[in-house]
Amino acid sequence: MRDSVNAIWSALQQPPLVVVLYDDYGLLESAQEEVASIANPSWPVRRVSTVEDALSTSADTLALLAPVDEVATIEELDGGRDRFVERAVPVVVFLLRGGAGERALTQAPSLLSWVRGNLIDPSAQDPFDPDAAREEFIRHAGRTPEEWLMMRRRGELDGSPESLGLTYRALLLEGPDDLA
Amino acid sequence: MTPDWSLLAPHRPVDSGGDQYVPPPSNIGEAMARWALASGAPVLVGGPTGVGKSTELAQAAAQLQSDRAVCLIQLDRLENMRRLEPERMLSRVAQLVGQPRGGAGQGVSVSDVAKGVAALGSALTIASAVGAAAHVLASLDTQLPPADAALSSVRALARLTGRRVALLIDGLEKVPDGAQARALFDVLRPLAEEADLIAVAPWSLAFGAEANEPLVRQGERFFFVRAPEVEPVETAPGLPFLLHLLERRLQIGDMRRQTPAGFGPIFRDAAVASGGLPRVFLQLIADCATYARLHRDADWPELSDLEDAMADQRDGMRRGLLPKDLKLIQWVDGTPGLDLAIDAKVRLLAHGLLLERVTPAGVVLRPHPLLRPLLREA
Amino acid sequence: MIWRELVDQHDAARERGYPKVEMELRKRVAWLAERGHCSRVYQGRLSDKTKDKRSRRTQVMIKGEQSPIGDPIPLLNLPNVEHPKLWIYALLDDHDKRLLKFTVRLDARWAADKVPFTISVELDDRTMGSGACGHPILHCHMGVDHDRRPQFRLPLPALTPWEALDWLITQLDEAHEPAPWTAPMFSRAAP
Repeated sequence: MRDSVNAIWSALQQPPLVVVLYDDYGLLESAQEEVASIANPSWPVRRVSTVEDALSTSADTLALLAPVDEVATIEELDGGRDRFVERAVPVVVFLLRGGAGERALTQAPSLLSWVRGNLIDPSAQDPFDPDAAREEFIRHAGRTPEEWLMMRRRGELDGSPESLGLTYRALLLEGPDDLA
Repeated sequence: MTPDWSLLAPHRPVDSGGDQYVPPPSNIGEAMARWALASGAPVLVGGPTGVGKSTELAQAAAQLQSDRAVCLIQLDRLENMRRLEPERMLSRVAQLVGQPRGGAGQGVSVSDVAKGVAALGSALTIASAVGAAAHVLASLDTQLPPADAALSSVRALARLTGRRVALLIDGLEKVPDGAQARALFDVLRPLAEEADLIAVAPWSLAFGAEANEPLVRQGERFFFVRAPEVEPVETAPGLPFLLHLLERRLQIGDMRRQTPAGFGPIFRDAAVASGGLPRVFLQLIADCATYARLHRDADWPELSDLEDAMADQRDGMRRGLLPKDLKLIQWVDGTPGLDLAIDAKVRLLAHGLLLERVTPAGVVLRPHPLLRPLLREA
Repeated sequence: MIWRELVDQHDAARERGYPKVEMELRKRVAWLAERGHCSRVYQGRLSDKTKDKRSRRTQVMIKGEQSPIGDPIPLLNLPNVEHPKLWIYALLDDHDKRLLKFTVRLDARWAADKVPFTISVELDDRTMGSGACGHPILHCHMGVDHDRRPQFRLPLPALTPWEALDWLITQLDEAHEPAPWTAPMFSRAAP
């Protein structure tokens, strides 16, 4: 069990640097909000756009660094990552997935060696295989999602938490047209 | 018992003289110090990221403490090494050689030297040695050019402590450009005449075409820090080293007796997966302990947690790969890599994606163990 | 007619409840953790990453380690109740960008007399029962459990999942009051 929320939560426990990839600029804001929502709520949060700004935040602040110049930022972090060694709360760097900043990581061994386990790519870490999930459902419930929902509609399910969880799972796996 | 996994701090090198230091099988820190004391010639140290270069440098500093006025200068904690210019570096050297220990990360300074000298029963007292620092600093007030200020500081420190100075400079491996690195070492040359110089070598000059060219002057010695062998697990020297490292960081006396039975296989698997790189090993253990807490609110990880941690590391390693790198890695696997293009070799060795292994037939390149599934897919 | 109006309001809340549902719920879980009412790890397990691209639906839940159906949050430091467990579920329609269904459910026993009880706020994905009064789209189950009587289904105003969680938390811990009686709008009602 491991998805990007788990991975972000885990990475945030391990300062000083975390990298999160996002898909397009319109999603940057929500990516930052998501990280802030997963962080310890007692941490102050600051949004910054340069390494210097990130360095100027106190060591117990969650700094969300959305660089204007991703390549320069990666190079600067590679050349001066140790300036962050005393941080108690990480600096989270947001990079466009597949963009110049991510490509620059191939030439940034020092930075990469620090963030290797703290590099979150939601697109790669949140795969969902509906066929495998259906099989898992059948193994767990002993019937298909559609059969389960038929029982629900006939009022044959009990009110247990197990039934509740399976109902949500069945609704997820059921095709949209079946939701009459 | 519940270990405090945050103590692992994989990104943090052990401080000079710190009790968390565990000598690696190669014992390079001590070897560097011995060489410097015996020859007075410059010492360079190189190796992949996370292998423990900074820790070994700090250990060498601790070893030299009783014979030298030691200045460990961790430039990368102060500067963006990619933009570091010779004059700026020399200003830092001048400043730090003369500066009593202030903030974190500034290494062993005059006040430490004074304490060390006083502890040895020298005629110098702590007060007078710290006072010496003021004299050293005074030389900076004369607005000398950085090269002269650095030289003056080193000489003043030697005069006031009655000892030869040892300058240990960390962070220079992060200077990516060969010409920039050359320029930095060129300006260090006069200092190397006055002091023992031990410095981390830039990757381009440690692994590249100029790897055998002297950086400072003839007679210098290059120490390469290799990741210790971790396979076969029964006999590889890397396993006892990594176990000891874990014990020291977690402050657990005897991991074999004080951990649940299920932790043994996790330790072994993490050690093998790390390729012997201490930072990767500590990251894997720290990550899987975090996943144990997240998944089950458990104090100790299970194998599934380690698999998640390994997947995270592997994802990160993938970012260091260019499109044809996996083919290149397969191609040079088990060879000395003489046919590999220099820039690719530097990059892959610096990232630790390729590891140098010593075999009876000589040094050969091997892929990092975490890459094995990717290589199978390729 | 009030019951029809309520249906319309509940349907309108499906759009209001769609964006940021996971983040808003996670904030509440973080609040609970801050107050010592649950482990902090549940903040990192409340996830909406179960996105089925085929059905274009997303499931928000506390992910379980082994089971695909989600875990409850065991609540702590609530002296009046024993073994309290909190389930949080939401199902999102990513095509029409609306909330399909949610459940915020607490099962526990009263510490004083060991009587079990359940409180469950549920938004149905479809009309159920015989009508909008007997089975409102958004309602709260209250009873010993979901099967034994007495078993009541109370209508609720149009709440989002996180607002429903606010309500539920406030029933357990008055310190979390999102609308204290200090705002000017309430001053007239003050004694």
